[in-house]
Amino acid sequence: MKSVIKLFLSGLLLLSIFISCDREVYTGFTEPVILSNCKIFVESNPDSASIYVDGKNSGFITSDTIKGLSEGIHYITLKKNLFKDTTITIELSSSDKKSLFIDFYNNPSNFGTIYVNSNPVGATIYLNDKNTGYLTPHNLTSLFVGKYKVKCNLPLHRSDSTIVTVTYGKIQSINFNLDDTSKWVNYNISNSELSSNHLSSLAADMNNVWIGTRDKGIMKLHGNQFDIIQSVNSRLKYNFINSLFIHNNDLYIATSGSLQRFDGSTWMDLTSILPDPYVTSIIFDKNDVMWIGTQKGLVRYDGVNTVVFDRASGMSSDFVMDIAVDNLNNIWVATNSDGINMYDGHKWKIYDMSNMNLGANLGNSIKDIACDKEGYIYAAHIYSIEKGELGGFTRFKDGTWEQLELNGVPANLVECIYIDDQGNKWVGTKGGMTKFRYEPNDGYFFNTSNSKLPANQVVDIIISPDGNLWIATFGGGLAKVKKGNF
Amino acid sequence: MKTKFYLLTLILSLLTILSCEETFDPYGKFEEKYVLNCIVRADTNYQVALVSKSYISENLDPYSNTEDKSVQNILVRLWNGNDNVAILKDTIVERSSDDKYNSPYRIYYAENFQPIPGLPLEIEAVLPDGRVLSSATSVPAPINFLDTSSDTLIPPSKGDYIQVVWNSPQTKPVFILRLGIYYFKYEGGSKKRYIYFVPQNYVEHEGKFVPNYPKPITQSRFSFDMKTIDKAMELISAGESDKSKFEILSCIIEVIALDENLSIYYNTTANANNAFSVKLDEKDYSNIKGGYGIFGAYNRNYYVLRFKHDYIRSFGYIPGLTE
Repeated sequence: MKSVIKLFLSGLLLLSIFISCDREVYTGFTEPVILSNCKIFVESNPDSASIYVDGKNSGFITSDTIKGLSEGIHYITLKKNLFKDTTITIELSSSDKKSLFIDFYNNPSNFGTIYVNSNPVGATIYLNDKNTGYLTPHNLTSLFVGKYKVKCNLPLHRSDSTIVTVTYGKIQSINFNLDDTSKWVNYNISNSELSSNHLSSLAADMNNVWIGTRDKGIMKLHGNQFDIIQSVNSRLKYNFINSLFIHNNDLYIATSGSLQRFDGSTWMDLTSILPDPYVTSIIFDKNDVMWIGTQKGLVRYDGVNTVVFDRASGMSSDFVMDIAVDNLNNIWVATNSDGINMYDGHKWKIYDMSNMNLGANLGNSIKDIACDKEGYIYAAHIYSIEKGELGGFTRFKDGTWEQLELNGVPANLVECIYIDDQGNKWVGTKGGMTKFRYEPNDGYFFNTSNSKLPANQVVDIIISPDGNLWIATFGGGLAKVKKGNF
Repeated sequence: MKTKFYLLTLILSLLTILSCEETFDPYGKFEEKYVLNCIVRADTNYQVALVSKSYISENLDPYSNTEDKSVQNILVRLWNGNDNVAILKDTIVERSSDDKYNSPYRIYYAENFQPIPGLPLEIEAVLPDGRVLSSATSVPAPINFLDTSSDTLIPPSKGDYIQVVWNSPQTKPVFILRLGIYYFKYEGGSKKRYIYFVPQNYVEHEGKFVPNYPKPITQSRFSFDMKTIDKAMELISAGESDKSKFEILSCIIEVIALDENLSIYYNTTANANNAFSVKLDEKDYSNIKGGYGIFGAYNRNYYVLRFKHDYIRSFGYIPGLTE
């Protein structure tokens, strides 16, 4: 019996030892830590392609390393503008670091085509300034994606070019309307190096045409080359040009704040001889004496001495708008608001609405004045609704003024008068330009509707020594009409 | 023999008792956890995210820690859809001198990321050891005020309250409101601009009016009692005898729409109106996969109400804008 008790107690004790420490403790849910330690180095040709991982933009571009990738299969897509998306499947295992290189140019899908046409057809096609040997119309095929300069050349037409972006698998069509330059050539800021479309004056010597602008200085055009002359790159003092004049191969420049002479290399500032720096006009008389119009008087300068004429000297106004010299070397002066003044070397004679004996009040504000070889004086009166002045175009000879109507253009909106060596009168207005020999109705007119005139406001006209006609417009740039076509 | 047996029994009993003795650690096994917090604002393109890690305090006071636990060298990215992505840059921001931390803030920021409502918004932070914290939401739709249902003038032509109504295509939306009276006060020869924020009501306590500001709401409309606005207008110049120093401009209501994440966060932390609900502590809520933290987004819009000039003048103030 004792043995049984001993055995029972021993077993009980052993059981106690085994089960006494058995316990369960709840420690909560432990989220497994998943490490995304894989990396992949991605590069491409060309580089800077966006790297997408499993359809999402990684924010990295080639060449770069994408880190934080989990184990398993990933889809790496490279996206680059113009190229076809390229996707590669890659499998990564623990802590892998792999590399991937994609050459877009190895994919034949990354080619495109440019279809080039022109009007008229038959123009030579240049690609990135290299002659392709093809004429329009033509498909330029097997071009890698990217930007290409496409140019078309056709004799007697203005060459045209454009930048074309070729996208994979696409055909880009371009059509050039080639400007016929056999008679007219227009220059503006879009198709040439002309610095402004707002022109003010023209002058021409044997080799160059000089173009004054309202805001961008002067341009010298020699051949097809424009040289820009401005206050920032030369000694030109102001970019607001009022008038240009060529005398003895020197260029005289009247600006809003200066009078300068430029002989092609050297500048001379003549502003100091003037009563006011705002210079409107320049002319030389038959004795090579220079006459300068300013806001505060007319200046006679013989190269040594200066004489200033103004109200105190017998003029009707101090504000000179334009000057002309007649066959008798009389000086005719257009004033801002007080009619026309004529100086015969001794005294002034004044013509205005009070003594011009015109049928209507054309006004005493004279924009431009010119003299021809037949002894006529032509004047442009400015239209002013505020002053009740009708404006108009008048002519003077033998003591009589007469009002003229112009063929096809508004006579009360005349901007400039130019008389060529043959005695043709060219009149630029705000509504186009007209040309006549003797009477205004014996000529013809140009405007934007019936010609290639780039703008209707014609501010200056000249014929250069090589026989071409040059037309400066306000807003439309410059036009050249080739010799024999006007 | 009997003695030996009892001696053996005693030894075994002693071993049994001693074998269960163990030390008890109240913290349990410490596992370092990372925390990502980012609230994306749809009304700006500047976004900020913060990444920090858990820690064991030396003593039992968690606020005794003065070491900044923000984490460096993390790749933090925000996505709005699959294509629009921003890799956040890291920088440090100086703390104020009285801050308990002894090192600057380390923040991650994006300067040109303005999410488009409707597209999924995701965040991912890849830690240097390969851990990834991530979350997703969508940007709340813009708040469009319904002019036909909202008052435009204070006081309104009808009723004794002003009401502003807006539309929201969001399900389970939560809105936060703030109404401010904008005014100039002439001080020392010049005028300075101030804003007085109007409460939902005032509770009079010991002779003082204690403001009770609007709590987040789930409806797309809100009303302000004119009595409250009257009281706010009065209090603008409390203590000032010269009322003409005050030039009243307008009243602007700012409404913020929270996304679903922030709405849930708000709902888990808000006081329930019944005795059976159990309030969660803020730290219990997280919507960051792989760690802790909050990722959400909100949108914001403003609605302007003008004051009638007679109403402004009735307080002795000067109208600052056309009626």
